Amino acid sequence: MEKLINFLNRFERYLAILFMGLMTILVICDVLSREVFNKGIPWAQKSAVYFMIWGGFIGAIMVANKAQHLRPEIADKLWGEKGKYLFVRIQNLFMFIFCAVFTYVAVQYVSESFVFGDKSVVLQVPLWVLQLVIPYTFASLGIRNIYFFLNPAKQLELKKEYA
Amino acid sequence: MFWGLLFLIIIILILVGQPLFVIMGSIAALSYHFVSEEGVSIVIGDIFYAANKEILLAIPLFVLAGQIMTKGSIAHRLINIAKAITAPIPSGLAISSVLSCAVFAAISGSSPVTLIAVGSILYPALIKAGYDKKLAMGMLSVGGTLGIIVPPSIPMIIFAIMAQVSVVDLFKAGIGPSIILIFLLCIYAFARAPKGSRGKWDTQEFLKSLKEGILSMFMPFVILGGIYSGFFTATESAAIAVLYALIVEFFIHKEMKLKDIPILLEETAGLLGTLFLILILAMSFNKFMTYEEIPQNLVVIMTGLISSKITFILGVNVLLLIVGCIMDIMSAILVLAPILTPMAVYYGMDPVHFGIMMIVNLEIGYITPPIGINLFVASSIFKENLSTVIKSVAPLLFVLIFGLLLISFIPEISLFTVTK
Repeated sequence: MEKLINFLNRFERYLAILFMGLMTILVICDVLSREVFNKGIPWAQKSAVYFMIWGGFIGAIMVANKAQHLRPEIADKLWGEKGKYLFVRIQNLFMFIFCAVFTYVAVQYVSESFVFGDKSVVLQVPLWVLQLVIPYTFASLGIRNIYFFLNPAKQLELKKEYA
Repeated sequence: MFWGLLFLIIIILILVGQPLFVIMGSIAALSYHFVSEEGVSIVIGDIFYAANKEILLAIPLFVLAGQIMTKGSIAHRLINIAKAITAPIPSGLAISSVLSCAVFAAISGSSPVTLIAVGSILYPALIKAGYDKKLAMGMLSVGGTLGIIVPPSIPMIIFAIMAQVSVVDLFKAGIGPSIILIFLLCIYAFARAPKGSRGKWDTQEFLKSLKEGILSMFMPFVILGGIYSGFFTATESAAIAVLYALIVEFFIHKEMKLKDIPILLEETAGLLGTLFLILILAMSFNKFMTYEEIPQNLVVIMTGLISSKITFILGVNVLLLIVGCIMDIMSAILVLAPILTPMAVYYGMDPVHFGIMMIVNLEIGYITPPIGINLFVASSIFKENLSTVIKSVAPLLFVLIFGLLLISFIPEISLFTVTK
């Protein structure tokens, strides 16, 4: 499990850097082209938006890796020092259920896009390719929840490290 | 019946420590499933549609520009300029801390980062110059909060998306309130000036600091100038900000190397990721609320309870100040902006003015217990216990609330820069 998590962390880190980099380059090129040559790059902004969507979803997984997602913490103290591992386990169990449901529904949604052959209007790229990041994100988050459910101390350690 | 059940589910999710995106996603999914009788799959469609907006590009680009600019020694450069300018004024160093915080926060876009960067340099300097410890701590902790009202501001972009108002108008409207708040804080510092806090004007020192720091200080003006003149949209100005930051840090300050870029991009993805899921799931729930006419129904209920605009403004200010104490700013905007903005419009407020008022309210939340993040950061970097930090911030809280009342009841402070 540890190996899988480490592999996913590295893979997703490279993806996030790639998507954020491409997004930035495309928007800058588009703006410069418009200001200098009076003609923008028609597909640049839309492509940048899709890179941002991918980067944003992958970024959400990276935040989960560091246990840094925004959440109301008002009830945390109720669990006390003794209940902290139980709390992390229950927390991850609930998150896993949420992610499993959303992964299942997202797979169905993307499958429908594939069957109907929907395409992006500007780029003419099949929409299912662009939407694939949604089930991937929830599935990847779900894997993290299983990992932290089994290793609650690890999540607490990460939370402290990145706080 | 359904709403009671939904409320109970939210309480349970909070009790078991769920992240906001899970709470928001569960609310959206359950609402669509039980009220609209639509499948949960509509939420997936909604979030893809919600994310597919060009204005969202401005968020990671402004974050990236801030990350690049704050990589080097920008805090030193800005502080030196502010110190040189304010030297001949009584309490000049305290005033320079407010000015440094305001400009640094506008560039970095982060309140805690501002407090760490500027506070760690200026706090020892203020103490050494004979300033009261509490005044020094208070000025720096409060100064850091200015970042979200000085444009460009990520909370303003989030508000614009959730309340469907123009980002450019919000950025323009932020100028007046920023000046008012900076002015009030400077007046406070001036009034509490210790003896001998007035220095001498040194033209050479001023020119030297200006030469070293002018390019860092110039970034907010490039962005605002572009937006204000109608030359750039918010997204375009964010792209220009990144380009400007890269040129300044790579070729002029030479404080950045190629190997730093992947780390900055990774950090940007992480910061975007913190917001992204919550934002798009909140937008899905927002769409559900609009279909079900929930904000309109709430307006009807509210009009039965509140009869005047003044009562509404006071009531909303109290509500938002309480919310700011217990919720972080992004979550508060995502949850409350779509509900409160239609009410504000009903009571005759301009939605842009309301957005500014909301952001100033939530800005105060950075320095109010129990979750005011600047209090914890200040306690850590100034090595003081939390209660001392809270006491040091308390008088400045009244200054900010006075500023908030001015901004709330004089719409022209926000709207004089916005042409309709």
